[in-house]
Amino acid sequence: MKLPRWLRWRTNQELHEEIHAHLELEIQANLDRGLSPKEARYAALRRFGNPARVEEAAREGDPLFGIATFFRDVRYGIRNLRRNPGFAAAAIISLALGIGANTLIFSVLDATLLKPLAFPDPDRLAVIWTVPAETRDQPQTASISTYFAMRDRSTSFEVVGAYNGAACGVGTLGSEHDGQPAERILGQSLSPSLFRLLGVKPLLGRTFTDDEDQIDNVAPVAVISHDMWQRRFAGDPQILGKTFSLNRAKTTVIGVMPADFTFFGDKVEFFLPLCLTGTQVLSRVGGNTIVGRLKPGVSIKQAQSEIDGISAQLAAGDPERHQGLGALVEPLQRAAYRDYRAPLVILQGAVAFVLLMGCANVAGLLLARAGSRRAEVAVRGALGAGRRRILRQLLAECLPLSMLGGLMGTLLCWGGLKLFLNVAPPNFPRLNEISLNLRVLGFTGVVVILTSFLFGMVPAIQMSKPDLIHALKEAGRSGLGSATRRRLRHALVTAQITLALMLLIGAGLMINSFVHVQKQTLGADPRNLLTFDFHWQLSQGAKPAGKYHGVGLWDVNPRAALTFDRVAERLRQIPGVVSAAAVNVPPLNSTFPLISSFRIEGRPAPTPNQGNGSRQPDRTANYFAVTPKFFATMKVPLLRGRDFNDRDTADASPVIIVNQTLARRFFPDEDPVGRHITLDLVPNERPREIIGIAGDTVTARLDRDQTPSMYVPQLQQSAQFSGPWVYFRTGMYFVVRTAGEPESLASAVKRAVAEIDPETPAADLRPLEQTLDDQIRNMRIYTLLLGIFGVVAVILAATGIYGVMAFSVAERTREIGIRMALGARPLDVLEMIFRQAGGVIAIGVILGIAGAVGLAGLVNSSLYGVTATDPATYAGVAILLVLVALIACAVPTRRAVRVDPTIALRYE
Amino acid sequence: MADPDRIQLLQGTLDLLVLQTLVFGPQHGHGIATAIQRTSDDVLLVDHGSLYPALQRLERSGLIASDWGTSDNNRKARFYKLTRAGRARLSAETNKWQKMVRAVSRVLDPGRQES
Repeated sequence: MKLPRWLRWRTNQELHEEIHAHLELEIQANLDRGLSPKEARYAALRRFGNPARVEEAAREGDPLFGIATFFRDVRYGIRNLRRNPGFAAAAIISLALGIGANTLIFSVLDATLLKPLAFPDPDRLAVIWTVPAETRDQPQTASISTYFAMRDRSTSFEVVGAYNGAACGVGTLGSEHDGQPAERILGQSLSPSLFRLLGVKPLLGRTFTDDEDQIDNVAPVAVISHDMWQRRFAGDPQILGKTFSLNRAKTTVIGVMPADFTFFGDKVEFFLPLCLTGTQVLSRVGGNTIVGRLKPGVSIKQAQSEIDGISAQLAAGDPERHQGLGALVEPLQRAAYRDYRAPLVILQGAVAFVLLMGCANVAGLLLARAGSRRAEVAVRGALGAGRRRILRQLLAECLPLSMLGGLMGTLLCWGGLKLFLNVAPPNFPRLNEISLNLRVLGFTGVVVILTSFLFGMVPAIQMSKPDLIHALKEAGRSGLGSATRRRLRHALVTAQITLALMLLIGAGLMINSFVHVQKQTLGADPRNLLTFDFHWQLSQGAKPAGKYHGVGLWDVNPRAALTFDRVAERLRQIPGVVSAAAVNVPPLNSTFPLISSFRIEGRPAPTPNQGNGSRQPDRTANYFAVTPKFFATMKVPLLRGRDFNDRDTADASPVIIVNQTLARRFFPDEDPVGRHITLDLVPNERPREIIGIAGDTVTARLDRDQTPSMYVPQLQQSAQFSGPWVYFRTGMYFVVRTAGEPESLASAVKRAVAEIDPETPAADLRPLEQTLDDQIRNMRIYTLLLGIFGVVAVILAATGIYGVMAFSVAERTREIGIRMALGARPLDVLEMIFRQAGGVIAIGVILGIAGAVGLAGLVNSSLYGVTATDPATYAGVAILLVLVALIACAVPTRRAVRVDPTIALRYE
Repeated sequence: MADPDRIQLLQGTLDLLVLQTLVFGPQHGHGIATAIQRTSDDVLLVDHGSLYPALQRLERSGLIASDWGTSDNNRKARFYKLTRAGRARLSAETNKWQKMVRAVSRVLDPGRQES
């Protein structure tokens, strides 16, 4: 039986035997020619050449032999590592830190940004944002009329749907009827087409039909989440067709979603048809996220150009609702995790730097060892190994290093991931899907192979240079060493300092921002404050009443404000409560505050549309409606005038309190107290007298600037309110200052609220400090990670510099000995070495700063309170790094100058 | 160290010579070397060592096949023989070679008429 050709390879032994036989034959022939046995043998060998080399050459193209050689080289590499445990440990740890950090960040990045959404054909799903013409980088949600236009006119999409979490996505579940206290739950309202479009099917029952979503006649049906089915209905298999009270309306359950449908977050418990009202349809206001499924073969780009056309038509045909608005088509996945993109990309960049530094470290170590291995390589060359063969061997030897590094790195990552999952905010996307899966391990594998090339290539090329005689002569004697090698080592140190400095500057800027945000004066005292959200149903609190400024106008139920006052009054009677008040937006946490323009009485009204050139500062300010004692409860200082009191009722003359920024900006040279201003949020506003100036507070934690703000007594708000902001009239956020632990009063507060209004729950009851903390949780994690990577970078840089300097100095021990024997003082030697190291460090620092300035644009959007080129951070970090570098240099140098010259001269 | 240029220069030629030698029947490595030397009137000195990589190469590409056998003086040796593909390649290569030789000699010695 003949084996297939590719298997017909000779064993080592066979070829060896064959060559042996050949030599025997030749010797015999030579003997026959009359040569002496000795001569016969020599002549045969001369004729043949180097048998070992022939054997090797004969196998050159044999794939199996290639693999065998490769493994032999790897084995040799492992033996080498065992002989140099110190070198091995330093190299493996350097690599493990880099590979571990990369694997960690990649596993997070993979789960959020890279792994496709769990829907059929997820790459055909896209979001259509509304973008204001002047700020195209700030996509917004779309108005209903935009949604309708996209749905009806676009041909790029198979289906277009929309969802709107704000419209009726917050529900009050339960009431006295089913015997359970009312509770606030989260939901989504979505167009019936949306489930179909995403390609998800309910676990039980059905989803909405198109006729369940008629304008002003939305069917009272709900699809519930698997969670809610289990929690509230104990997994009742007969759930379909049952009703429950949602927003005080009898709602029929028509379907249950599977447990893994968590696209809207795992806190969303019910889904309603998009609650379309006539007013909403007429409105310019957004709130709707339009999602479409592209037709097969249609690209995002094609869709974008079609949508651009539709936007232009809308703007021309219906300027009241569409002027100045464009549209942006973005893949759904990108849109869903938009906020996580920039920080994760920055982090991935940071860990890439850490890995590069690890590689530079190992390359430095290998170069340092190159001297002692030079003789070995030269001998190999002399025995007939070609340059390529030597190169291959040296690279193969690197593989065990990076493999061990990869293994340790994966272990590090495994630990790091556990830690990350513990500290990550619970709302981090797809947290439960982050794991060390095959994709991540594959990534690690590729990184491992790439790194071994990266750190192995330079030393290998250096070492395999065929200057045989020089190398052999030099072998066993560490003379001055080759200048090229020294230059290479210095280049590596420079690269390390550059990378470390760039990374440290990035980390420093983030840490600075974080400290800034943490230290930021809130303008209020969040300690011992309990907050909750108390909101009436929209239907209960307001009725549509036409339009104002292009948005819907509502008649507000006057009983709402009275109820809020009574709740505040009741709260103040709870033992342990120091004071209580309420405000219409989340305190210190209003990402979307109400903004109103206003007019100062006695001054000319600012003419609108003055053109883009010389525009006056907009007369707008944040609008807050508060109960009396708000400033006292929040501990916001009143700088001038008086607080609101019980006499500032709806019938009293209207008053207003402004903050310091407003006073300073709009009344620079006069006392605002006593002046009158008129708001323009709603029709029929009367001029309000400014009765006080309050201290500035932050509107939201991550706001960059102080904004002008004004406060009105909530009882004195106008009877009508406009747009979706009417939501801020039908409820209040209460703040309760407690004497002790805020949480200990939680149940007492709940009972007190239920006494006044049993139908409306005290939702989101929690200490304000906790809410404030949550706002910076993501930032804290990013900062923490960057800080850790920064520390790792410093350690790597320090060991790298130490290693190279220690080697340099050791190499020059003889020289130092001669110099000292000739009368150089230790200080002179120190100066000599530091001058050399100083140059290397200085170049690294300059390059690092230049690089950081170059990359400044990337981090700008993630910074608060510092600029991306903050000189203090740059200087501080550079000085820190230079100090570390100098210490890393000083240790080996000190050792060198202490050596007795006689010993140094004999040093080998 | 071996001169890489020489190996490359020899490569095609050596293969051709090996194939030609095997036309007369199976032969072992040493036999091939001496045969080339003898038939070329000792002009072509084959570096015996370089023969083996060539033999491996030819065998891998299926032009020759080999098996263990016994040499004339009763020693164990590996015998090579031409395969069908090897024969075809030999005639093709021979044609090519002769064409090239004729062309080169015309260039080098334009006065001489071709017979």
